[in-house]
Amino acid sequence: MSYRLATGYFVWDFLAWILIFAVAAALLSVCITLVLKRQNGRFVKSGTCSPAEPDIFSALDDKIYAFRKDCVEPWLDMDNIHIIAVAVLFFLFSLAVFCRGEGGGGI
Amino acid sequence: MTSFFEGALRILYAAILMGAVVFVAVTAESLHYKTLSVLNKRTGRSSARDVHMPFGLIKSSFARTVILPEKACVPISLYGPALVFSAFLPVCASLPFCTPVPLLDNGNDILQMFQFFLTAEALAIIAVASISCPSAHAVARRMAKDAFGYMLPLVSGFASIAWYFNIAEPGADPFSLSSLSFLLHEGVLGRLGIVGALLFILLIISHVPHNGTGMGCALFGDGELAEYQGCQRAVMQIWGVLRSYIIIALVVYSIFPWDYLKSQVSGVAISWWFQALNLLLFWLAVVAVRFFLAPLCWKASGYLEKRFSANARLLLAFALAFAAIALVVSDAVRLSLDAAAF
Repeated sequence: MSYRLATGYFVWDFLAWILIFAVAAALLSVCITLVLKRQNGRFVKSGTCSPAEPDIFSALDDKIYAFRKDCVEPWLDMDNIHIIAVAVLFFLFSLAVFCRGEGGGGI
Repeated sequence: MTSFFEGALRILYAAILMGAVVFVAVTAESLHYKTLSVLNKRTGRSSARDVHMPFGLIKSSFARTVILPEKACVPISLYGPALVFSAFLPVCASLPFCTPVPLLDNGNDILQMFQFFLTAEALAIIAVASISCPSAHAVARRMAKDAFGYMLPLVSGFASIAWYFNIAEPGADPFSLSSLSFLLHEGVLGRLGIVGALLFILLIISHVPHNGTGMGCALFGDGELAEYQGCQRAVMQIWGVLRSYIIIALVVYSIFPWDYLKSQVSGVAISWWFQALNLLLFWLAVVAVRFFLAPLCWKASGYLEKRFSANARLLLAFALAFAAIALVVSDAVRLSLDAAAF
């Protein structure tokens, strides 16, 4: 199994990614566990929750939610949405294949 | 056997340097708070809430009892921060300024870095949301918006400059930090492109995640989420500070005068002391940008935010990013037309 993805431009070393992530996560988890062990392996449960501060973005969130509800969900609820989605993907794929430029970033 | 020891030494060396970078970020942030505290005392301002030292807080957090809310999802809210920090470490391992000997091959790759930025952000939002308190949900929403806020100019900036690079230097890797640095140093960019790049730099720095009240980079403000205490909170705070410094470092890297420094000591460019000096000067520049330019940008964007409604603010962010893209792209079109005419 190959752990490296090498193209002409970049090299992605998946094994190194996993190693760094796993080793660091293991070390930090051990640290947290040791701190917990100092208090007999139990954490203190806080019964109270601090109230949320007023969210200045809530009006915007409401609008995004309304947009999703009014404009996106009717499409998702359509009966043949899966066929339409495949057709759109096929159309975009054809567009990408047949309208491809000459490469090199020229305009 | 020799190669094994070589590899182990390389990893140890890189780990020490990454640790040093974390230390620099946290210490610089603490120093910033300390300076603010002294200034506030002298000017008679009593904004003690705004002035706290993350270094002291982090130290005491490790000694403090672990507290979690009753409704919290325990494994995620307790061990999630460890995953967040670990997911962010490959960014450090792939940057030449964190590790002069990068652990990851071809570490300058911008796409690779964005993947880790995104992974760490997603894990952090999950970890905070798992605290299951109204205030934690509010913080998670703020984090999602902050992430979107800094990702938009960062991604659009790097993508449009990469496109420019693709026209200026076809065949080279456009999604490399070195390419970006080359483009900004070698005078390839025209006037419009320079204005666009400057706009991107100001946009990115003004969107570096920070705590609005104290103008600090710690993830949680003083007294915020009091029901979430202990070492896991400290890990999240360190990640918050490190993330902000790495974003600033990405910007500074592209404008740092590497070539000028190299020309001053020609002949000994690869000596260890020159590399160490380079690294030291680079991080001093990052800290200087954090201390002086970033607060200015934050104040300016805060002033603009106060004057606009939430919708207008979002539109403004899009408009500024679009203007910067348009400037860089129009310069690329000019370059392309010039090449065609030639």
